[in-house]
Amino acid sequence: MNEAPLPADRAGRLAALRARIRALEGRGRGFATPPVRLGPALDPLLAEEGLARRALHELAGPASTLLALAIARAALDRPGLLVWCLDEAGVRARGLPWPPGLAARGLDPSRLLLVRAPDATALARAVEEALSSPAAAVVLGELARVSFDLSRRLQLAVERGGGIGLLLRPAADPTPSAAATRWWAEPVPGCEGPVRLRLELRRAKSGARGQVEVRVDERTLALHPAAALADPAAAAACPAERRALARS
Amino acid sequence: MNAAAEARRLAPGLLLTDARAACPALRVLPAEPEADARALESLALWCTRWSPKVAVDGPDGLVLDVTGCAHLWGGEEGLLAALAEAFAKLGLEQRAALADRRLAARAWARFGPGGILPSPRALDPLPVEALELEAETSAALRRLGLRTIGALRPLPRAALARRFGLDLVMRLAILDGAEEPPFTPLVEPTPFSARLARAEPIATSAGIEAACARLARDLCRMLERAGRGARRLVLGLHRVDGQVARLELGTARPSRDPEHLCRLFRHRLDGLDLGFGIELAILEAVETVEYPAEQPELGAPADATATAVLIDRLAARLGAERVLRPEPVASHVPERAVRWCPAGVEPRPGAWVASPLRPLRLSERPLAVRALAVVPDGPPLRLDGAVVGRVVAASGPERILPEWWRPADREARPRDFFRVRLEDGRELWCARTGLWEEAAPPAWQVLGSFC
Repeated sequence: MNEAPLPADRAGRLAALRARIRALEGRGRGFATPPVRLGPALDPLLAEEGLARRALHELAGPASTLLALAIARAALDRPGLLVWCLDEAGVRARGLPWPPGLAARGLDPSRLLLVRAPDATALARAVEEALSSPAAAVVLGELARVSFDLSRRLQLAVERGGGIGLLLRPAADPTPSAAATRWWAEPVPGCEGPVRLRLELRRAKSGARGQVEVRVDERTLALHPAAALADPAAAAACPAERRALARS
Repeated sequence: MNAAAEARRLAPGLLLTDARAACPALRVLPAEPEADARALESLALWCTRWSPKVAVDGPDGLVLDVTGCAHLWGGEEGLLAALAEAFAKLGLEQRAALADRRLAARAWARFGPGGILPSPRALDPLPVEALELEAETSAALRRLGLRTIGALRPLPRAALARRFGLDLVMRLAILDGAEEPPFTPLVEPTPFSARLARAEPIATSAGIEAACARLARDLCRMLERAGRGARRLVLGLHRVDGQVARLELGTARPSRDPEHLCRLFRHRLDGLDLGFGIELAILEAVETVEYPAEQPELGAPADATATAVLIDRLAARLGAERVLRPEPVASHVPERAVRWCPAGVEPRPGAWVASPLRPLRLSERPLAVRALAVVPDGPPLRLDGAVVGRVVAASGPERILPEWWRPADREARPRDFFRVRLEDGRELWCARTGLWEEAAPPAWQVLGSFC
């Protein structure tokens, strides 16, 4: 096997080796798939400087919908649909996506395809079908239970399709899976001001782990580092502001 | 009445006791006209094997337009023989007649011996009832001694029309070869139809899939020659026992890709009851549109075709009503602002009212909660009930009035919406229904979530 010689410098060599491993794993076949860039708050955590496409990502926690849509917003920079799959149990527990709210955050509802499966089995099949389609740029599946076999099947499907698969989980799930990353997203308890999320990268294929607090821009769903806002002084100012608001 | 019953002198209208006396072994079942009609209709579908134009005729008859079909069975005698054999296999008795006019064929089957009508004059000895006139007209003719069709022939038509109405004269003219009004077939025939008949019935799902693939290939070749694409397809599977399963499906975009069409049907074939096997499969494109040959675009991985393929596959698996696209509705009421339409239909364009106050998700059934507020029309301080938590921040109210011009909203009351943040960080969309001054206390609901 004659491969191009590795570059001399350390960074270049690492990048070349990663590309070879990706080729071996079957990802990045055909045309290059650049990762989904999530901004300076999250990208340094991730091995590829972004969230890999042609891969599954598990998102759990009370703010998982918001995180999923922030990722979807960034991933929809290329053509394709946002396929949102959920079953009737999910509709009852969490409600349907609401296009006026999505439109207000810069997600075009005309690119949204909603799949309402009758039960979990049909939902898993629908997610697999959507992941394997080149028409879907982002597939959002609200799967309550994912066995390792199912996650592996979904991973193979997303490698065929070329989009990014986001599995929305209502609760943390310790079972192993073929997903590239596993996230926990919860809102930062506190007071008013912009929406802040605590994101925890609990598992990644690259071995990375980490926790970061981000501020969500509600107009664009961009995730900004929130270190500056996390100081106790801002939290102390909270009750006064709330009183002011209650009076208004 | 079948032959066995006739041999025992049973007849319609007989009292049950008389019938029991004539035939002690008689089993009695209540009449079910609806079930009979359904069975007759399924029999009519089964008859599409002889001609695409089939209709149910009265409570006990079928009519087939076999123009241009008879040569496939070696002429008209061959067709009638094949028909008799097939009905005998199903265990049904029938009397078939074949004539140039439906009226003549009906008369020949119901009042004559059946078979091919040799000439219009052969109908002459049949009673006037064979003309299917109204009961009074037939009775009046009988009173005058005009008992057979032949007796009417020498009479002047103008006099007959004056005395018994135009209908009688028109029916006589039809027997002599005048045009008859066309009939509406049960299934509209289509020029794009592929069929596969098997002497040995197909009883495995793999066999059905193979048959489906072959039919799709044949049909797509036909469509390609005509420069058309299918929007709606029907796969008719004729079972050996005379039942016909009709699978119908639509496509989001016109298609003539055999692999795609076959895949769509594959999901529907799962769990289908094949009975003792399928002897005949017919695939028809019942709705087609102009679809010129197209050049696949290069370098466009997410083009419209891929989208249509995905929508078709999901719709074939789950049903079209479960694969949806949003359509904006000009309404301030949140529950009405979205209409979810089947994705195969092009959504109507419209603008979305973008507002930062709107939640990401909306519950189909809002959760009822109790709320504590400092002032009656202020934001809540604490939620209790289905959602529990202290409110640390709230923005609002945003008053949304019911749409008084809709009958459903006649009784509805205005609502004040708040976006509230609970102490655990969750953000919810709450509404208070009704005003404080009213007799009933205001009701609180959680309608949606922002995270």
